Amino acid sequence: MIRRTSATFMLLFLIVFCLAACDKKEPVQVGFIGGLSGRVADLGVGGRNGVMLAIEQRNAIGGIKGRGIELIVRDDEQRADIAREKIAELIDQKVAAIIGPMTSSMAMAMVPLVNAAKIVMVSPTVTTSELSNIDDYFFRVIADTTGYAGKNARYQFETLGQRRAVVIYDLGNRSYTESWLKDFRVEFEGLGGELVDVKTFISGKDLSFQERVAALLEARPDFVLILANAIDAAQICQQVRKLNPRMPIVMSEWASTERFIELAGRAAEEVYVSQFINRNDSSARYQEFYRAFIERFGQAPGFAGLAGYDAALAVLDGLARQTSGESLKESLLSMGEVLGVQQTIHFGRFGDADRKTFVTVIRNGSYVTLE
Amino acid sequence: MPVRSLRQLLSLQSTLVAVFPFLLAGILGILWLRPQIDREIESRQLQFGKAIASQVESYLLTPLVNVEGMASLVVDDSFDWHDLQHMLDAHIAASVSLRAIYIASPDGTIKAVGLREDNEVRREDLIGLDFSGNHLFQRALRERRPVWSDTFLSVVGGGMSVAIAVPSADRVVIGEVDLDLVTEFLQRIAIDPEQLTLVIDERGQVIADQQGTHTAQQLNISNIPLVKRGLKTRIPVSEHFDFEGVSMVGSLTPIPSQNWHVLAALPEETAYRTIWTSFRIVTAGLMTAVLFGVAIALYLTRRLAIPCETLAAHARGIAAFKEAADWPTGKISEFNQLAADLQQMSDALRERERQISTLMSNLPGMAYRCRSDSQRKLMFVSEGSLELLGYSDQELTNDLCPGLNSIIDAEDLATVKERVDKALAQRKPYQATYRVRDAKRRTRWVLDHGRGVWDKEGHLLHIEGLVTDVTARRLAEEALKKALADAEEAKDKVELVLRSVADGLVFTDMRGRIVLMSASAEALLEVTQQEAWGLTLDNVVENMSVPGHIPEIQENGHGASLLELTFVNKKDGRKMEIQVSSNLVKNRDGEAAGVITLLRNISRERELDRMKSEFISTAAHELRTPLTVILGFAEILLEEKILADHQREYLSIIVDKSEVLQRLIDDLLDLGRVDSGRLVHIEKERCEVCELIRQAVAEARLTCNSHRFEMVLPEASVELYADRLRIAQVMENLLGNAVKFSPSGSLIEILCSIGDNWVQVAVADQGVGLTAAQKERIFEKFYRADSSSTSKQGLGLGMTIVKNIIDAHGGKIRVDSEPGRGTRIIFQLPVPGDAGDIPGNSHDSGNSIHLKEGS
Repeated sequence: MIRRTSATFMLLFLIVFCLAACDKKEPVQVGFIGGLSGRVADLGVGGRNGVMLAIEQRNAIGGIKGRGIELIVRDDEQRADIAREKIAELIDQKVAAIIGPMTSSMAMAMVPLVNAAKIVMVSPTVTTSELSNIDDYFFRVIADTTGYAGKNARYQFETLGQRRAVVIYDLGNRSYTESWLKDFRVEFEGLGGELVDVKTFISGKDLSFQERVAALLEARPDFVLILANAIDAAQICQQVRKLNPRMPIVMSEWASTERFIELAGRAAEEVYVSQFINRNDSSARYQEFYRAFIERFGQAPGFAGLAGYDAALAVLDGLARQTSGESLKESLLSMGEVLGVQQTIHFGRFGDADRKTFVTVIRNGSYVTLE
Repeated sequence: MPVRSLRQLLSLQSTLVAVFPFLLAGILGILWLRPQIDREIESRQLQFGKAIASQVESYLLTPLVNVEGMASLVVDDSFDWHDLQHMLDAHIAASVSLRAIYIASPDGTIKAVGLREDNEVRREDLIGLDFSGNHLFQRALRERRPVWSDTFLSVVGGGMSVAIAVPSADRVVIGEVDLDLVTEFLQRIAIDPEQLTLVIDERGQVIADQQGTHTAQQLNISNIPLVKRGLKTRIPVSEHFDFEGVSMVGSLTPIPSQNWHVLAALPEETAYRTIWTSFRIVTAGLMTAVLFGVAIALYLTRRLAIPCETLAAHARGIAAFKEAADWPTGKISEFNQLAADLQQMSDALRERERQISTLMSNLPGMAYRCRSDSQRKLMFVSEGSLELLGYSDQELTNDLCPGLNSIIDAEDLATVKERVDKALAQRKPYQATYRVRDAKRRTRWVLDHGRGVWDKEGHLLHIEGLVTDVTARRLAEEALKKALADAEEAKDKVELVLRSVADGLVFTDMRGRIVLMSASAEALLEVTQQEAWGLTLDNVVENMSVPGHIPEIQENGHGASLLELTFVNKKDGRKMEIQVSSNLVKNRDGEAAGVITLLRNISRERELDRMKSEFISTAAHELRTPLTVILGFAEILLEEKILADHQREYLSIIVDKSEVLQRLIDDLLDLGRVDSGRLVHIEKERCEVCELIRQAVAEARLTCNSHRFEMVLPEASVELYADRLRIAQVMENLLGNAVKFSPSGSLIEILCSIGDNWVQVAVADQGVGLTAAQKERIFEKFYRADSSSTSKQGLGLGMTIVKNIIDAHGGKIRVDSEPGRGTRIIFQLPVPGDAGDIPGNSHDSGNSIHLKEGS
């Protein structure tokens, strides 16, 4: 009788133990969403790889409070309808937080959904000022366009003495491009500059830029401002250089990937680019990150990888510091700042960061930081 | 070891016999077969991966050959660019996988472009583009061999593609392979829709996949252990791994020509499907066999168990008094034999039960069996319950009756529970008397004998006992107790009274032993009751002659007269006068129970008596002398003749009254003598009785003419030796009393008779007579039978003196009287020896002379 009772107890104990053990292994799920296919894929892939690296490194040292972290990756295909569908999938999976998206247009489509679901979304690269200063569940580890578009304008006007600008930009990510352009225009025109012509396109396969570029150059500008992804920007640069090899070119940080230099070849030389990343950073922290990224993915992280990594650090730190009964939003806001790879990122009252930008120029196939 | 039913046991064991081999086979299968299967599957995946890789390699060789073909055409400048353009277009059109092909000059400028679509605008866009920054171009120039690109976005903005660069002299021919087409190819060669086919480069970056999704996402899968191992070893490897949350089994096979690898894998579920299906079929077959075996085993079990259960059910029926039929039989001889044996056993048990039942119904009271719970729930009671409690056995054992304790009087319940619990704890029988309420709410006293019944393991099964009615006995006991208490109280009271009486009181039993003494008796006898207990008075009082009369009393059955004793105090030697009177005590039946003796200290009274007698004697002497003078001179004066008549009359009165006074004084003097213990002074002389009587009567007649006196005297003269004056005094007193206490004119008789040696004189009157009490006390000093105010004059000393005088002569005196019938005083005097010649007594001889004398 006693033997039977003790056997029953042991069985019960085993079951409870197993359940407890299983419960312990239940991972924290974190979602990633970004454009992983199509022409903006280098941004999305870079961001995803940065996030993957951060999570893999965190899992290697024991995860969060003993729980592993599982990354669920979704591709928004740079389409608003797909983006909403995919974000709903992540919300259904009850992820602890979502990292992404990588472009502003997608963010505009997703933010209402995450606000409704009260799930924190931390974007690595969304810069549109349309999402600034709103008390919502949207966080970012990057500043909005206001600051650095203006900085770029001042640099062109004051440092380089440029006065006439033509602009070509991608309507496929107009939340970003138009926000950027607005801030640039306000500063540039405020200084006395002039936007003499503006051309747009919608990014896609087998686009031809020759005609648009020729039309822009007919306006006899001092420089061409390109607001496009790296591939499109490379194509546009090639066309500009074909028609006028000495025409100064200015680009927003969106195109400032390694891929741009590879694709644009000699056309990339002397192109002014805003940067979120200081590629000349020799700090140990950045070098360590850089080495780990190359080792893991075989390519340089770029600003997307860096921003993705920083966004992931913010989410993981927030989750690690989250106390019982506290939401991740409260945890992040109370945390106030995240030690990013290159700089400490401060969250404002509404989760908007104040990341510094750099003005660079491409020389001999490399980005050179000017300011 | 748990006890199970036969059916359970047989079912369980037969099922185990059927199932155990299969369980064993299953466990062995899992432990041994599973790794075998895993290895087999991995081996199959390896072969499968190799086949896929081989197909992929040959598929990719086609565009390579195409591009190399073009490269061979442009080794020198012997071609026309326009023609070359057409040739490029023709090559594209002919190729299944190339989407674009272009030729770059040594500085990286694109010189010619062949596109799949005829798109002149696009062609114009592309021609002249700078390709020098491209890694692929640089590598082709540097390595002087065909190289495949490691980035997968079309250089010329054509979406997802992989490029191949072939150096040709100082030019480079680049062909872009559309990854969508590679995806299509991979889908085509896939053997299963769920198959995962990934073409990856040496960094683990996905180049193409079956679904196209991973191609687009530019996934790096170098963190998968299989990939890590394969990239390192560069030989085909296979193993299990997880991909996007799905467990898979697959292989990584290198494609040497591109320095790429093909990862071909299937979800475990798919890979193992065939094996698992076979396993399921076999298992289902085996399970069917097992089930069949179990079913047969259960059927056999049932066949065996049913007779057993029938027997058991029958036994339970018998146990519950519900079954009276014969034991069931069946088709199995052993069971029939068992049934027959059980039948025999149950018959024997039934007989014993009948005996017990008869015995129980004859028991005076109620036998019971109850649980050992708080209420002692009754499981069985004998028929005696109806008579004892007015409840039937069903009423006491059904669910409405909580138990035996529920009918116990609330006052007794706690005690009963305590006693029962204690007895059960000690495993001893218990016995309790308590009150119960019967069906009519009357209280009855019962005696409960009971004891617990334990099983072998020492568990208390139930309690058995017998309750009998002891109400009558209990009431009798209570009455008796009360009576005893009352008696005790009464006895105490009596003892208290007895011990408190002023006179000494000693109670002796019929054997003369002291059983009770009053406090004053203790003081008198100077001994405590405890000391005297059980002793006779003899033992207690050494110098008293008390004991002598007690046995006498016991023998005679009546009380002795008073005794006066002198007792010398042991302490001070003082003498005490003690009056002792004893009386027989009789019980209710009139039987003698003992003697009660009263001791009264009369020393003081005696002292007073003596003082009084001395005073009287002295006073009488002092009175006598003047009175003699008065009387003498009065008589002398009477002799004188000179007196006038009236003076003579006055003198006569003085003389008369003086004489009366002189007699009184004489009486007082006599009394004094008597009281002082001295006998009356007697001066005996020879004297004739009749003469004395006649003389006395004559004097009486002189002084009293209101009564008639008659004398009956013997004829012969009777001489006495006596004091003449004293005898005359006796006669005078007796006659005086007779006159005093009888009506005037009545007759007073004086009778004299002679016996052998005595003479008897009786004086009889016709007066009021005396009561017994008066007779008793007539000789006491100063006692007067009639003490009313109308009584006759006198001191009450006459009869006392008479008795003293008679006693002093050695005679006897007695009183014969009844109220209303007159009084007769009779005294006898001894006749001296020389008077023996005097003839017999007056009654016999009749020689007495009855003289009638007129008054």
